[in-house]
Amino acid sequence: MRTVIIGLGGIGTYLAEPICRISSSSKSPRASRRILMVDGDKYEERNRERQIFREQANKAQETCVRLKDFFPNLEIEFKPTYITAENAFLFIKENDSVFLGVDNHATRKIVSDRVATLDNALLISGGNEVRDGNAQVYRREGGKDITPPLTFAHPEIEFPTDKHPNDLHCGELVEAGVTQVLAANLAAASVMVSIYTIWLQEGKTPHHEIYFDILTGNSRSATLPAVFSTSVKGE
Amino acid sequence: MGDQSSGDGRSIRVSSGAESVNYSGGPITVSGLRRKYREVMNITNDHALVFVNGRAVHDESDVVPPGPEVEFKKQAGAKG
Repeated sequence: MRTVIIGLGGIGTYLAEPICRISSSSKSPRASRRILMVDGDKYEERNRERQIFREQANKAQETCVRLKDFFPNLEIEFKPTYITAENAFLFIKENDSVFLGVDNHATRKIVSDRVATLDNALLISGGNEVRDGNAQVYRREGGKDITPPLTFAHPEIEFPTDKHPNDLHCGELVEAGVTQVLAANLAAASVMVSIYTIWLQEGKTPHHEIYFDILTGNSRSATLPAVFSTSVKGE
Repeated sequence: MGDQSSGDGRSIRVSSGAESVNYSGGPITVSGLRRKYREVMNITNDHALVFVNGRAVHDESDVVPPGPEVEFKKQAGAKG
């Protein structure tokens, strides 16, 4: 049982520290002292306006090294690679809690599909646009979906038209990283941490999707689709 | 955002993304709700999927009586 953080960019940079802090002190049986950070990208100077780093190094490595000093009771590891359909099984395993803060739907589908093969796992995924975004919860228990996969009712994830980072050339990578604001990244991370806190404290996932809008200040928990209404997501 | 009411079963709760309003003008088609709230809730053609009380709508000419929630499904945030 591990906590896996995939993507240490705009959202992940604000997820990593609170997830480590919670993991370090939580007495919940669902908390793990083992943290794995995964990202194939490296921090660049242009990331500094939104992302936390000291060295322009691989994002997973830099975040891992930075946080190890703060949380000596945690076993924090990193993998400097992008998640692919071929390697996902190496990083996402039974009973893991997975945080997904990537910038493309292609990776969201890969991770959701991997979680779908597990009997027990929790996936919390966040994404944002300039002013708004959402967090999704995909929980598997006893080989069944307790909440819907990320692809459910989201054809943009089921059939992604964006490219996996491994398939982007340099110019496309730069273009893919623009037009975000720190507040939207923070909001996504905050919602994800809130969902995880409920899970740790109460063993429940009462939300399967939460939308937020930093301009209006509103947030909303989406109604569970009828086909999942017979599952008990809050038990 | 207009047409606000208490959501007491006599209105239709219309949701999209983080926003929701109550429509209390009586029975209306799904496409009618889409037109009515297109601008104020920024419901675009990307909101292709619609759910009424959690059930997917296949025909937007379906009439929605007062009471249920109609969600125009907003796409997931892509960036991170």
